[in-house]
Amino acid sequence: MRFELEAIAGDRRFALGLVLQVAIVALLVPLLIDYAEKLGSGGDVLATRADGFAPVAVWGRGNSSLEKALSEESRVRLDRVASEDEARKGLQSGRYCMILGVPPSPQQNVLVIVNRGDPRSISAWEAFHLICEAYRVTYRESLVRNALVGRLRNGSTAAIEDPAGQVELLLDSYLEPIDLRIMSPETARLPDGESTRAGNESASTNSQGAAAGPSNGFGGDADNPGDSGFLSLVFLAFGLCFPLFSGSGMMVESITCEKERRTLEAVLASPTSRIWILLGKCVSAFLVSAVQSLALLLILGGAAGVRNVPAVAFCLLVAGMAVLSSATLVSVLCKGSKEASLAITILYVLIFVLFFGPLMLPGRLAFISPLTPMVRFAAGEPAESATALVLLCTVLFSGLCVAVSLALFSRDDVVFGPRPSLRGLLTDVVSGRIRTFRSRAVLVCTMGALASLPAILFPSLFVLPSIAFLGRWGFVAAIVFAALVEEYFKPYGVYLLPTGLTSREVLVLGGIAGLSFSLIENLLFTLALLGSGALQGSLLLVRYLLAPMMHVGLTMIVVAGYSRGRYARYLALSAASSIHGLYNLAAALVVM
Amino acid sequence: MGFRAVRAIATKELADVLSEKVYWLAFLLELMIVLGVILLGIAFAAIMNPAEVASNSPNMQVTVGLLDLSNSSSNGLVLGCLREENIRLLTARSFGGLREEVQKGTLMGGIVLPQGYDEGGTGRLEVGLVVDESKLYASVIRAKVEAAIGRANAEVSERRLGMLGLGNVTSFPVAESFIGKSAVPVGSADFVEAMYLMVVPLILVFPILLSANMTADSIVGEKEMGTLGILVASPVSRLDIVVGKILPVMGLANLQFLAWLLLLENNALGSVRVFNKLPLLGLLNLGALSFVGAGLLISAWSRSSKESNLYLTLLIASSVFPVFVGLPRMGALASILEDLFLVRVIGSLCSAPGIRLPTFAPQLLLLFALALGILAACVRSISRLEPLPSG
Repeated sequence: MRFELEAIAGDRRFALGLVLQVAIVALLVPLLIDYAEKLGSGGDVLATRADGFAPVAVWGRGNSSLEKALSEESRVRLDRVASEDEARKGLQSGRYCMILGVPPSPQQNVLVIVNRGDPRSISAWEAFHLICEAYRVTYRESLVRNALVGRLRNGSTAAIEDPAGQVELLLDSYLEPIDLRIMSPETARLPDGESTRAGNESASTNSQGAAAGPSNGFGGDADNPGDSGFLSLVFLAFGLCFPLFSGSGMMVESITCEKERRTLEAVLASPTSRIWILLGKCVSAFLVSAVQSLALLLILGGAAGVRNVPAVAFCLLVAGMAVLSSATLVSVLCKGSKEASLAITILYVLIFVLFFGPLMLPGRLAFISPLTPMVRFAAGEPAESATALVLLCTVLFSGLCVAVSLALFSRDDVVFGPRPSLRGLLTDVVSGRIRTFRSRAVLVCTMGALASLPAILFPSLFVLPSIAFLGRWGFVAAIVFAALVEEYFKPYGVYLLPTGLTSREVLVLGGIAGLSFSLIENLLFTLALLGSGALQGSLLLVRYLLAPMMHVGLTMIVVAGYSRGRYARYLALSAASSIHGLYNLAAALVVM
Repeated sequence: MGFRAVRAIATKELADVLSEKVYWLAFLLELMIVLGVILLGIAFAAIMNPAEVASNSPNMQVTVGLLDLSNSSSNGLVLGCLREENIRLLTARSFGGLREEVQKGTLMGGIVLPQGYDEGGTGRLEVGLVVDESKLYASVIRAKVEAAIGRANAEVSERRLGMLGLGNVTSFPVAESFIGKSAVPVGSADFVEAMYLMVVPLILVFPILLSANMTADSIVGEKEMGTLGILVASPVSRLDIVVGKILPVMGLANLQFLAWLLLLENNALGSVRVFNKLPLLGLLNLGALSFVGAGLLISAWSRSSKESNLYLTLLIASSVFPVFVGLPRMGALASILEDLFLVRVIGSLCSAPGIRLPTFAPQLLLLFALALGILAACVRSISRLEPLPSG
């Protein structure tokens, strides 16, 4: 470990990478926090510079207020032309996206011609439309104000106190008589005096809203949906994860470089065991990245308003363990640095999606991400049962990754090649250990349950390109593809078993695999419905009855074909996938 | 320059690139990123402009609870407007129940007409909308209800203004006419600006970055394999080596440009018309030449492929970051980088049906000079390489 730490510290690229990383985090995190604040306050959040994007020609009366207002719009580039003909020619040639004729008198029509075939015209038209609306509102307001003042003066013999104030109060009831009050369900309350009529059961929650809401009218304002504080913490978490990614890169490089330089043979020939060599490399990379992450937490945490720093640091270390352990697995499996760099890129994408995607989900669904406890602690929220569960799962995942890495690192074929296939590795693991029917059943059951992972991952990757290229048919293609993936992976446990099983045994094991997969799939389906709040008993009942029968039957077809040679194998897989695809399609049509 | 020598080096370089599984996977990854970026642009427009989403999906029916506490028989305008927006109204029994249903998601929102609400009166009316902002559909519900209330407001306002003797008040008359057919699927300025000024340039810049990465591995790869000595000792000029190494990469970059242009114009997610394709391709080629040359230069300077990848990452990060993120206090620098990185020019070229090329002459000249300078530096740096590895 000391050797590894010295090697890392002495590497010029590490120093350069460290400087780059600090610079990026120091620039990026404050910028993203600023972005979050803008988002929360409804400001302009687009980084594009649309200055002068939409060219507009104007002719007619000069120095009009409309022209002035339009010239103040940064996205519009206003060119004054001499005549309507010149403007029309510019519009036809694509030089202008919109042309505008200002009449000599304000009572006459303003002439506007928009070239819809020019995308920039949408920006110009929107800017023009907003200005027109503002003019109309101001004009109507002045008319109504004058009429109301006249009415108050004529209709009252006594002196009126604060006539201007009275007019302002009346103005809205003429111009915008209906006010829409938007409230969130957590803090919504009725106007004073109506809580009791409208249902006493909500009295306790209403009192919470009453404290925040106005004295009359509805309470519990939800007009500001953006939660900039939360987003700032998410962006901070993003910054804190940078060193973890660079640490995992170091880890991968450390192993694959030794493989490429052929120095791993010499290292492994030393009296130190392989377990300690791998652990030494892994722990060194973890220590270096953890120190950087914690330093960043101390530096940036104050600016982002982090509350519970020790708890946040603990969660960060747990998340770091997951990143580093999965990188260790990648480094052991990869043959060279090119393969490793691609694998680590894909791993980064997966980690990024898993870490940051669920953070935006409502309720407990957010706890799919190991970063959720960190962000919630940083926001000052207390720990809950889901916090402990997600941290425990992350530690278990890290432990599993390290254990698998150690097991693989102790195999010569994985380290020096030729690298065995995944199926070959799994077959080696089970051969000799799986002798009884019960142990075989446990194996196919476990593999059937694990098949839900590729069944989610592969169709998810396929769905976007298929919809992009095929439109509605792409959705059908994705459904059929999902059926094929499921049918291939469900009986994976049976593929690992030695040949020589009776047909009956194979069929029963296939049925077990299908049932196990179906149970996990139904469980995930129920959780998804619970999360979206659209749980329907009848739908669940139908699914819990039909899906297990279908999965058991189709997996039995696949394994029956598998035990009867190559062509029968493909035929059975195709038949089962087709039936499954039709079932999926029918289910999708019913739901839609 | 020897044609045969260039062809031989280019063929070998192309074979090297195509034999790398990593690059094939990178193309696949690029496709996923391009599709993701298009989807992100559409999602951005939808988030920024929910009213547009609501008006583009008139058949989308939403179910909303209604709690009417007004006890007045003259109400019906707001409810009528809500139904016109295809909002299905279900009567709620209590306020607490309504809030609970909205929170659970069984109702997408809740409308409350409070006590004293009377459309026949002259006072200010207040309508409550309970909506859970954490739900994905919340912004569309808000937009639909706001549109309905807007229509009801106009009608009630007109009626009341008539009572003041101000009926049929018109101001700022506009005679508008439209020509042409829309070139974008979403008629929102946010969408157009995000697409043409960010998404399309980003997508078209990807091939340039990947090409630079390919050349960054090129010479240093030969150094690592020990074949550079043979190449330099062979009777080919340094210019032949540079051209031979750059040509296949430029060819692949052009294939990607064409593929992404085709995808942008023909996809089911949201096709966007791209104008001025030929000038755009010319410009992209100049940009690609500069970056590919820079990659080759870095490759010639570096001692290992890791070192060259690190320097290239530094170059790309320092160029791309200020341009796409838009640092507030880097106006002048970001503007120069924008021109170098083609973002503004690509945005202007691909969004305008008619464009005068002299407008972009300074940028084109700048890029051309930069590309030439970098290529000259490449030839010079290769000339300095030792014919055979020392030792």
